[in-house]
Amino acid sequence: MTGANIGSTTYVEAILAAQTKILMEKSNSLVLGINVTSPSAIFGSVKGLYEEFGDKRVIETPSSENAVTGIALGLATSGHIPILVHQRLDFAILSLDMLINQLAKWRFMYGDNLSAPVIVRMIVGRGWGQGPQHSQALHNLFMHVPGFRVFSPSSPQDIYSSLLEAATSCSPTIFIEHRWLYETIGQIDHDQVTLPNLTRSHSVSKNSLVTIVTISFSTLEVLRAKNILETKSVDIDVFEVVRLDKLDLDSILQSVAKTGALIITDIGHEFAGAGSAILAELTKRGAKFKKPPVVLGLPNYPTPTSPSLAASYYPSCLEILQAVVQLSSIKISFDDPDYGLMSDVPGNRFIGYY
Amino acid sequence: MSQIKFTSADLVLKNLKIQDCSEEMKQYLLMYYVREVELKIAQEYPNGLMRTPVHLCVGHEAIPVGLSEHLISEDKVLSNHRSHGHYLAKGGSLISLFGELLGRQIGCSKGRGGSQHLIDLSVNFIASAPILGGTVPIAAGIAFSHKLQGLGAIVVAYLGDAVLEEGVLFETISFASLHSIPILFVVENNRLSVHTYLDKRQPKRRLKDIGSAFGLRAEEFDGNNVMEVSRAGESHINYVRKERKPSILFFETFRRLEHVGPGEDFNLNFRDPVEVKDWLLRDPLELAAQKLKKSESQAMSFSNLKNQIDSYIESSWQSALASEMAQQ
Repeated sequence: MTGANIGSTTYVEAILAAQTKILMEKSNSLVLGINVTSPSAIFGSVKGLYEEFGDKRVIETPSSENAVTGIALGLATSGHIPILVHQRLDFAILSLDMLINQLAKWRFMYGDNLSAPVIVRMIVGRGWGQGPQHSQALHNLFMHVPGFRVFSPSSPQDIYSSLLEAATSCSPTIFIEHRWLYETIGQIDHDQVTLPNLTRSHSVSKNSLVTIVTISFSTLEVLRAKNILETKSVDIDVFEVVRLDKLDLDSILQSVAKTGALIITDIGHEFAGAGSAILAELTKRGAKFKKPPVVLGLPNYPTPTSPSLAASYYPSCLEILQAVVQLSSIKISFDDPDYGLMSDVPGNRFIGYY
Repeated sequence: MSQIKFTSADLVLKNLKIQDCSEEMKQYLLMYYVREVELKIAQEYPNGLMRTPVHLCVGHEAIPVGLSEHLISEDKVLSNHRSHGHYLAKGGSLISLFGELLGRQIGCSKGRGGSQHLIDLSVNFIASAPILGGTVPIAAGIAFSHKLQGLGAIVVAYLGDAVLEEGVLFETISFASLHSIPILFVVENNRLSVHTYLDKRQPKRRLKDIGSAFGLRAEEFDGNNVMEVSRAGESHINYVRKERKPSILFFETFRRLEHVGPGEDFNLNFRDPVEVKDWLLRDPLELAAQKLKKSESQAMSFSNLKNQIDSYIESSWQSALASEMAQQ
């Protein structure tokens, strides 16, 4: 990439840059939520916005998630573009009534007479004992309800582009932001204001043995596995589904036709989850598998708190590697204990406490 | 009637081609219009062409009519499942209402919403929805936008007494008070949630205390006396308009028909017969008719005006009926 508007940035800086651009360019836009004016600024994702744009554009809200979601919809109905922020997706569950009964259906049920350009940011926690109510990844719920646009990008570029694109939509958009992505670094082109691809091809090779489809943070685990596999001269194709409500599966289907082997990795529960939905769509569209496909997600019980319990809860890079071995029948064993790490903290630099 | 501007009531009267009447006569005729629309729906409903649950507002007419005398076109209204009167009193198109009930393309929501999802943006009737308290925070958000954009118009949110059992109401009135939002909450208290009386659902207290506790101006009135509604409405609407603060009005009224559907529900024997008898004597149209001057109520023109309204309803019904079914 070349040009003046390209640079290296973290995921959280990309979120902040996109919101700053929206607030600067669209005078009808505003940010609201619990703690959006606090010094911690939602992990830095709204840092400085209150100071720069003031209390008419950046609005601290009471702990009234359901009403505030309705208020955001009312603001949108009157020509505003509200960006509603939830520090944890788990708190947004308090607003499911307004989200599902009103926001998702607002345009449809009044014959397209009203628009609902509400952007809802939901952060998914993991590790350091987030436990049952600070870690839920329920993107599958929002995929299932018609009317939402749902994005869960893993790269700074895609979160930046899709946020800016959402600010031009008439429909509500939900962003699933995994907390462990916030400090990751990538190149972004600030002029890329629309999402280039609903499914991002991270890696495609003619010799690939396995196709891996990823969602959100699981992309990073898979790319780590890919690097390890490369040292053993094994190639895999990696596709990240960035937009979840409207699946772009063409590139994935082409890859599966080549490999006949599919792994889907998700940040949510495996059963009846996004991974299962994607697998069903691929199967309906004729994907053929040499061996039964693998969906790696969370087990069917709530997130435990203790690090010793969390270790077996989240699928690790090691499990991805093992699934690749199983599907491709390559004769490699992975015994480096490091491959199983990262279940409770994203890296050694992470010292809590959220 | 407000002297300042062309009101929502004036708009409805203009659509009905009614002029040169006393204020009492205008109030009566507006209520008559709402009631006759509901009775037309009730009469046609058994024919099976309206495939949408209807929550008719027979008995509630005085509330939206009394308030409409003080609302102007720019003011916005949101409502609940029992919304036909709110929609009509704001000037909502009758053909679009009938069309919506009949599932037609000319329906106000193009057949997608039915009776429970009315809209007419041309008169700033923004939306109605049946989930209890559903439109309450949305109305507050619209009123909040008026504040942020420096608009002078106000918002009216209609709700029933059962919404006083929903958390979203308390979240909303708290927010409205905190931010000084120009919104009037209107509680139509018919004491019935489907078939369950208020005393089984809520503790005994003065309803207005709920509003006062959150810093809203709050008062309770008789919702069957259109003059009283109008006076209360004038006072509260002016307060919200001038002070740019929220207020809440509680009106006691009576649901004349069953919760949903075209018929009565007295045969289910859950109603208190003494109370029913008392309320039937206090029907809002009867009360208003008693206030009419004999010279007006006995004049030939009175029945002519009612016939004029009947014809307007019938021709709107026929137009809706003749129109095409909703298309994908």
